[in-house]
Amino acid sequence: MVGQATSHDLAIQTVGLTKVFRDFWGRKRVVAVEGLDLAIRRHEVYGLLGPNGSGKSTTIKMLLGLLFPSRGAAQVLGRAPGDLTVNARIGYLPEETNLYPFLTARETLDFYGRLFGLSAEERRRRSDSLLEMVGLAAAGRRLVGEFSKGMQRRIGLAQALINDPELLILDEPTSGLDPLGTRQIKDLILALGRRGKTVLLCSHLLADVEDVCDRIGILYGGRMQREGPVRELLARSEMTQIRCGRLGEEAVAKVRELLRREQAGDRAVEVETPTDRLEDYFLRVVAAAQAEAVATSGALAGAGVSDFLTSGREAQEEVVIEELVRGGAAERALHLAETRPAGEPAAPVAERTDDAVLQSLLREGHRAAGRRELTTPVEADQERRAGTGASGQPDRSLIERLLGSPPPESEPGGKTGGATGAGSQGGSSSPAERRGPDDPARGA
Amino acid sequence: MGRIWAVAKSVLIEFVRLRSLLAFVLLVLGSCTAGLAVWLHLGAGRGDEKIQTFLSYSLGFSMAILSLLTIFLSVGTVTRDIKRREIFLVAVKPVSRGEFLAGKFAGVALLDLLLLGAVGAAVYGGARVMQRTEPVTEDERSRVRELVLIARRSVEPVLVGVSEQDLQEEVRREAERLIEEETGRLENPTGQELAVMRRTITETVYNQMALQRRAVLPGRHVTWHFTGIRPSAAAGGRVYVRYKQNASPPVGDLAVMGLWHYGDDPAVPFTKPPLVRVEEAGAVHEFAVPVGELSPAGELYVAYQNAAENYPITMVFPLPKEGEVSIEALYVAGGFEANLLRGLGAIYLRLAFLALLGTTMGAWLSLPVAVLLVLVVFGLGISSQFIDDALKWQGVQATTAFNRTIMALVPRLAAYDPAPALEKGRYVAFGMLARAFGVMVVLQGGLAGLAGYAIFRFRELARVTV
Repeated sequence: MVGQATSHDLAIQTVGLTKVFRDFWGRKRVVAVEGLDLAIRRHEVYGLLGPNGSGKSTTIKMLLGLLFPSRGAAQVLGRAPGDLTVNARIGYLPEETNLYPFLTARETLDFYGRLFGLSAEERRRRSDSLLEMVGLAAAGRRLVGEFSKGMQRRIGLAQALINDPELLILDEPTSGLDPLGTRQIKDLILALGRRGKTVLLCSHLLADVEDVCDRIGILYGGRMQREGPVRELLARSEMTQIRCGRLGEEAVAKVRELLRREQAGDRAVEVETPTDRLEDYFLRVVAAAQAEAVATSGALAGAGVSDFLTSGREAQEEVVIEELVRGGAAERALHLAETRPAGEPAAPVAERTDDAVLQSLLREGHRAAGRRELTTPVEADQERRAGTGASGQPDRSLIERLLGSPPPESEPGGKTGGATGAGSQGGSSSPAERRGPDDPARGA
Repeated sequence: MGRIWAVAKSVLIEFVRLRSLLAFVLLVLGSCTAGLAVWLHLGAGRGDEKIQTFLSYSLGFSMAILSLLTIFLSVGTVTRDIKRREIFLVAVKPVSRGEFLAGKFAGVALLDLLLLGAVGAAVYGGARVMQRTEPVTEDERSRVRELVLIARRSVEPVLVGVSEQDLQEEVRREAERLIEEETGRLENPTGQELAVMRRTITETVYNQMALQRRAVLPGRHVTWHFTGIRPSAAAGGRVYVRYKQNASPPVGDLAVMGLWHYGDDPAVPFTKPPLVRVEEAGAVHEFAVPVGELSPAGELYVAYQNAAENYPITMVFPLPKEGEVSIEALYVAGGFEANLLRGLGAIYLRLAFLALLGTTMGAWLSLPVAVLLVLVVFGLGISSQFIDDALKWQGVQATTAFNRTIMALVPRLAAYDPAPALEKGRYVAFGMLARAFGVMVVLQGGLAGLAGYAIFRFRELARVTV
């Protein structure tokens, strides 16, 4: 897919990018990055994974012009790294926040806003919005140097968004954040991706990357080891996962028996009671405390996504699409497609979002029919983390069919999905869909 | 411009938020002005002299403190950004590295402006308060008014009937003769020995011959010609002749009598009754000349007649030295306020040079190395005259080499120091300010700044982290 993309479609491209650190006498000390070929498409959320010292941060610094390549070349948004016109379209959150400790949170955003040439009124508006978004509205007059690490990450993220960037480069964005903040950041990245931003996420926290990225690349020893869509890399197509409501021992035994028969009895079948994730449990506790207005000097829950973080038609489409998803107005979707200028290809984000619309509508159909989906274990887990997977009432009809009981009377619309090997078809596994609706309350 | 201002403003905020440093600076500057004024008030001495001491020390101390503060602040604000990696978040914004450095420089320069404004206000206030409290007699009050808290310009004269060209020619001939004689006496002299000998003989001969022309035998006279005297009518149009004479042979504390004639024509002075003055030899004296004695073009002839006809004392006007003249005309060219402002301007240009040097050196050197380098430049600048004198005896080549290399890059800060002029009520000339700006800030500071920027422009801001 990436090979087919033209350089115009690429937000970041590197060819044979190499960085060799030398000592004072010019002797080679460390090869931090070696022959890296990277192609990140516009509007994509790309995760760069790797253990400590694998070359992630060095790569990012070369992309930003903070380091110069020893060999090879890089292009960011079609220009050389460090180009001022490119810098105007980039947001960057470094591994350590590195903000001026003597500025207040509000002054910090105002300072970076000035560097982008924003007007005073625009700086004020965006600062208000971003402080609200990252949950620091009440700490706007406090010095950044007095902030906890998590609060510094939040204000760091806010400064990265002050220019409404096309490309967002985040180096360990959730480092130092509490689970609430981590969840908010991940939700934010998802929302930004949905709004057409290109995001390069660099992390060694695998769960973060897995939850939000379309594609990932795994670096080790300065070389790219594996690269591809998250779903493809993680899919275990040899297995099928069935989730349902609590079953009695007898029903479980029947299921086991059925599955043994279906699989010729030579493969293990695991049946267990699922547990909630600690992250979800923690978030519920904090949300309850916030609902009771317990006083805190730290960051509060953020408020969705700043309204200025958008760009042109893509965002307009997104709003309409979200309305469609909520309201099911197919005619308006048709109208939107018709109003696209002739000859102009649909933007990738629109394509992806259209796919999301279809999947969402399909899922709505499933919900309406009281049906559950069959997914591969990975996809099911991703859905659960993204909060978009089916939950609540179990798909009784499927269980009963598996157990040999008659199906319910009516099946309005949509199919149930294959029982085996259907992970890639039956699951709503596109990244856009996994991101779910842009619900400001989700973070809390 | 908005980006430069953003960076500059952050420097200002940084300093203001460093409360301990701010308090320290204000405390030191306060003690240099208010504290000094109180200390002088409690001491003994003439009122005008106390005010002169106050001006000299308060300006000198403040200048030293602000210079050191500027050096540390300008280097520190850049090196700290790089060391703490705060520059990462600025360098990836649409801000060129030149704009970043310009912003840092502008921030330090603005801060200097604010602090210098505070110093100026304190010095001015202190001087005016002391003007009311310190003088006891009317003479002291008059001296403060006429000689200290004023701006007088100086005009140096030429001797009538003495051609400098002829003098130089005569010196050359006599010096060549002596050099030839001396060379014949030396055995295998080195080039440096010859150079030192040539320089010594030439200077000695010149001094002797020039002094001969400035010596006034009993009953004889010399006439001085001043041009370009343009007293400010707004300031009262006063003109003074200030001079110093030595007696030969020395007469100790004895007073000698002299007759002074003045007018706008070389022949006119002797047509009017002279001004008779009996005063101590070897000291500086001055007398007022009515403005009406000047020609419309600002010319003035002043003749001195040695009245010691009955005893063999020769009066000699000494040769001018660095920062000191033996006879000059002083005229009021403006008030103290404007003069102080020009003086503060000269100090500010010095601080701007140091800020420029500090920010650009800090952009590619570590904090201690950059501070040391700027301190060395600062030290060389303020001691350039001393170094010149020391090198003079090492021969022409050493002096020339020093002047053409190091001192071409280092400003002669003493030449741009306004404190001596302000202390003596001398006019701080715009010409000096223009030279300070053009040579010190634009040429020397600009050259160092360009070199620093060129290195900074192509350096990697990040470091090895694998």
